[in-house]
Amino acid sequence: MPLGLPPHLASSTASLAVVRAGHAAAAACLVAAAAVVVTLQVTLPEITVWPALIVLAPMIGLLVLLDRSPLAFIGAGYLFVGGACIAWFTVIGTAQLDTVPRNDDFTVGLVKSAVILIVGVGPGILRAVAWTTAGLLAAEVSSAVVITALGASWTPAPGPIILWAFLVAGLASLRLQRLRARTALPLLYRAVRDEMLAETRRGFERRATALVHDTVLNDLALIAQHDEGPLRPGVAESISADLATLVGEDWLAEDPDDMPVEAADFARMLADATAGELAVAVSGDLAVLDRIERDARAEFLRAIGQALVNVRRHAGVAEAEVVIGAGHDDVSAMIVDAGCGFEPSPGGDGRLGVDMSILARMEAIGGEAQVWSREGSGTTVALRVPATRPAPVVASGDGAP
Amino acid sequence: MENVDPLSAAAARPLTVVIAVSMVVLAILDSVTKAEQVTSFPFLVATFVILVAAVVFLVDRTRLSRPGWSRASALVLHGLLVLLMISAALATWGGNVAVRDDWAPLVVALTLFALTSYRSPAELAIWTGVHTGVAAVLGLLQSPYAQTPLPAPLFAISGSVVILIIGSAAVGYARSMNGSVLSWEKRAWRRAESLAREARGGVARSVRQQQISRAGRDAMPVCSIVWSIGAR
Repeated sequence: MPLGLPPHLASSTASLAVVRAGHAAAAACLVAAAAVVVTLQVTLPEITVWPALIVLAPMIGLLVLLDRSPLAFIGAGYLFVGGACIAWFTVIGTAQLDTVPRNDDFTVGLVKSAVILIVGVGPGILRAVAWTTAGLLAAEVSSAVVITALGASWTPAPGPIILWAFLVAGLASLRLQRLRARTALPLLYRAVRDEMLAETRRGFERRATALVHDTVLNDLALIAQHDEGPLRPGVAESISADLATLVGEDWLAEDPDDMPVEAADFARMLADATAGELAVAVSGDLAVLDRIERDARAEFLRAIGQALVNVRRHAGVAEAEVVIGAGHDDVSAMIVDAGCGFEPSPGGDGRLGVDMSILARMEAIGGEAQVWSREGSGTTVALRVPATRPAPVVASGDGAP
Repeated sequence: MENVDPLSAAAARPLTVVIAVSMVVLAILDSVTKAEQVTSFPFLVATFVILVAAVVFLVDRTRLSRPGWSRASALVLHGLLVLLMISAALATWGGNVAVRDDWAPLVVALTLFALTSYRSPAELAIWTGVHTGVAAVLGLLQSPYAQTPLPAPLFAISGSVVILIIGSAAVGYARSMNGSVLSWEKRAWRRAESLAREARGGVARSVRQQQISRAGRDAMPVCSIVWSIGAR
């Protein structure tokens, strides 16, 4: 169901649609009139009615012009030619079919309808009413003149008047609808904008919640597990960096468009996550990260970072490996360590860090995460996110153009 | 819904109902004034049953509480309209003086126009062609019983021209109006998106403030103390 139009556009758009409808109907009338002429000429070859087609051609041409370039002089020309066409049809019908000229003749009625259905020249309800009325007058005056000249009596035909009244009533109803529509659109605008702002806010809150987890909760866990005595240098630096991050504005900022991107982002993530305590071997092409949309890429890197933080804090090893890869429509990362591992519980690993900072984060960007681990056998975290840009086509390498 | 849909489907609903009622009134008046042309009362009754079914279907499917029309529903309605024309022709078979003033093609044409806010221009064009063809064939078949001795193809034209004219108007209206509405909708969404984008900074700062307040109240004092002790 299409939504409506704002009040300032409703009137002109609706009246323009009525004008277009009128032109389409007028074209159908002229086609039908031409079909009648052709049928008569073919089935009754002894009469000569084909000259009636001659005046239909310019009328159709002017109608097409009027629809494409709604100019007043083309409209006036259409009415003039239409009037001539009505007279011409009446004369030919009277002469060739040997009938008394009548104002309610079927074929002439079709041409008259085409003239009245000019409806308007461009948008504007009052203008459309004026042009329709001019069409009715042109049709009836032309008909009256030619019928009187042929020696018959002219009486008004009900058909064209009913058509005119129907069109004017339709245009008047559009004017009433325009008045009713005056207060409608501000409500629509407000609803759409509010919904978009709420969605924006939800996105920021999701990001902030994940950030708080990455910093505060992890730091608290780290402190709880720490031995008596001063903090190890790496831990102290990590807490200091987290505090700075929390009160800073970096996490809010949109990445600038001209930032070099994948490698720099990845390096920054790596430095933050390892805090100088973890050696990470990275393999794979970092350029594939460019295939992920910017916000999703930031979240993807944060998830990798969180997996590395977990290795650093819980695995009991000083090395880890990150493998970056890509398929046709996704980008993946695998974080592998040979640490102490753990027993994942069914339906999730049961650890807040993995659930909140990795699984939920990946789901939020339309990706997925899987964790494989066993006590004493290390942990592997596999992340996958849909790519928004397709994989580049690799040249065949045979030198062919 | 009318408040946010001033000139389209919801706003067109009253007009649809008016057209639907007008169709029944028109059919009754025309049948009464031309009662002498009726040759089969059972077919006349069947015609009115089909007409009422089509009108009820049209009014029901355009209710604001219903989802948009499916193609299957449109097929049912147009099937009823074809049956209506055939049944109406059979009701006056052999007694129809002039096919050009029959009410059934006019009802079909008005239904096509009533559908402009609900169906696509392409579909309306196809059904205009189908109904025009059916009416033309029925006009042709009834030509031997006409009072005026004219070539048979003229009855095909005069019997179907009202559908062609009003159907063409419906297609022209739907193409222009629906095109304009959809085009405006696209622009309105872009505008709303741009407004939301402009407000991102403010929203982000507000969320940040909220998070800092929470963290500052609960966790940051602990972290700060531990860090200051540990860093010494």
